[in-house]
Amino acid sequence: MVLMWEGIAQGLGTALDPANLLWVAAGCCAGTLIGMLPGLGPITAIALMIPVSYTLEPAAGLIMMAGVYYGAVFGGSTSSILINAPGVASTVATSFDGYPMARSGQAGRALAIAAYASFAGGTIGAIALLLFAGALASWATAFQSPEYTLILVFALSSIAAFAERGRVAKSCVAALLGLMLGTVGTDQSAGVQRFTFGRLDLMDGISFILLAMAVFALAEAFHMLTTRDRGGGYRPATSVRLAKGDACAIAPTVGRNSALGFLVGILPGAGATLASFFAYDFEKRFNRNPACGIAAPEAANNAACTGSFVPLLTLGIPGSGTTAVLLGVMLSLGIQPGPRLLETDPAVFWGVIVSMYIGNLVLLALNLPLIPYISRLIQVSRPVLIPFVAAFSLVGVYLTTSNAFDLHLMLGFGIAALILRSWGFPLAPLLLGFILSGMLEENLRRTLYLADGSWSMLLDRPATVLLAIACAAIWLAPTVRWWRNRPAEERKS
Amino acid sequence: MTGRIVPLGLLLVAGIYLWATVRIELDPWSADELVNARALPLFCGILLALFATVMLLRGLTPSETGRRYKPLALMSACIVGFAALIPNAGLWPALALFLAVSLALLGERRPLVLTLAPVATALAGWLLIEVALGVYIHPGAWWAWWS
Repeated sequence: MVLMWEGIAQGLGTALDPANLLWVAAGCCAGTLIGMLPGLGPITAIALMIPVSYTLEPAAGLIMMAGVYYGAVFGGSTSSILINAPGVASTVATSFDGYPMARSGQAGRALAIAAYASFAGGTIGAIALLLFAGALASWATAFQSPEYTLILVFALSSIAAFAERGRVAKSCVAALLGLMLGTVGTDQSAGVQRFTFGRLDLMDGISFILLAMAVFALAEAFHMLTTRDRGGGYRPATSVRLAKGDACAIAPTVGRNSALGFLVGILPGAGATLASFFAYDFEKRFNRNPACGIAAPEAANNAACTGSFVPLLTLGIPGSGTTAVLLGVMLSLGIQPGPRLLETDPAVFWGVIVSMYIGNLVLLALNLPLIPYISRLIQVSRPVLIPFVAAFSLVGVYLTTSNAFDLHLMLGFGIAALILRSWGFPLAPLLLGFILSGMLEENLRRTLYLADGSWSMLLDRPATVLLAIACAAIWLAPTVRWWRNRPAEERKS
Repeated sequence: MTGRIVPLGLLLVAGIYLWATVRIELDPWSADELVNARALPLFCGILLALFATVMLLRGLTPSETGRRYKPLALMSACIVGFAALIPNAGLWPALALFLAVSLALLGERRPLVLTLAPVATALAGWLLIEVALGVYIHPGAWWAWWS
């Protein structure tokens, strides 16, 4: 407990450093601006800001990225409410009650509810993270390769379990494609070349930034390019204020849905989208107030964003597409997340956690007065927006690799991602598979090496048995769901 | 028929991937290991082939239809041109040109946006990356005489 308070004090010291405060504010603003643009969500925002993070100290870079994440989630809610264009799935539920409220001339009220609920959700999530992350990290130091192998299998299996209805096989295919792309380059253990086809450019493997930019930023630009703009028309918000009685009405909603969101966010593969839909559905069962219909998904998705940092910081395993991008950023900055992070880099560990709370505060203080002005950015036309999104992603990749071949590769991946997206394949599992590929292979090999080639080590430890049962439950879940939902005639026969 | 194009493509990818997997040259000591450099690729390739076969038999329905592919082809040509231009013209001039051409191709007609926005963006990028942060970027073969 004493250690935790010491850590929090250290984290406060790092997060309240004037330069870091400036970076978290800059991250929140950039995230809000990017997230507000229809179609661009937290993953794209983080991917586009990667080149900037490279120029900063590791702690500052990560703190800025946390700000970008929060800002983008909040920005996404703004475009959902104002123009009914939820760029990302996690803000779709917000538009259900938010856009009708904006259309009825209460855009400012809807935005204020979203802002306060996001702040409260993020704050509750940050407090929960402060309380649990340290304890979980200490517990996780006992984990060895067998546990990690099964946690990674569990994380990959969760992709199928939490996939949208009818997209289980497509999610699995996307994850497999990610795993396959992760095997390109020199095999770290044996030193042999795999899938390089004799090209020197591929010997170091495919750059994570290249894939993230291609699959999210460039593919998003291509998506906008090939579809017609279906925005609902801009509804200006002159002042962002709550109506009388709103605070009392949404307080219990925010409390219960923040807790729900945090718990859902911890689960690998679940993330903010599932949290926001769960919360909206849960709230609407007994509450018809549209203010609560906005507050519930907003509180839940922000708390889930914080919750998704639990497996990332304590186990080094990303639970969602966004945290997979963040993991890549951390590795590029020389930060190795995992249970040892608490010992090796406590300033980063606690600094990031504390800065999440500060980021929420900055977001509220900075964005509430500015929303009426920055929301005008939504009016930027697609012919202007698309070349700039493409240019930023291309320059971002070129700056990190200085190789024109990577731009051709990026174009290929961007087009492939667009095709997959058109046919309903989710893209986040692809990035998750790519990130987890190397870790899975390395830990599995180490496990077998320790056990002299025997698979028994994967099942003769209490934690691994529990994880194996969890994996089996996840694999069986779709079958059980199908069995329970099959048509009545089929059941009778 | 269109519902089978993507599964066919995936099956082709799995086939090429598996063909390349068996061609991975293993070291003599790792050839007998259960999990060597070929293991994960083999597992992934076979699983992808299975998924693709099932999808091929059942067919897929697109989630988004009515896409316009002409702007995509134009933008792709711009990106190829941008990548080809960088080694000669340098990153910033190529970026300004890429922005100007792609803005024009996508229908932007305001002269101020077409000229000022690309130049200002390239200039801001150069100032931020090369001047303020001191990152060296090759100026391009055409300007080599300058340095």
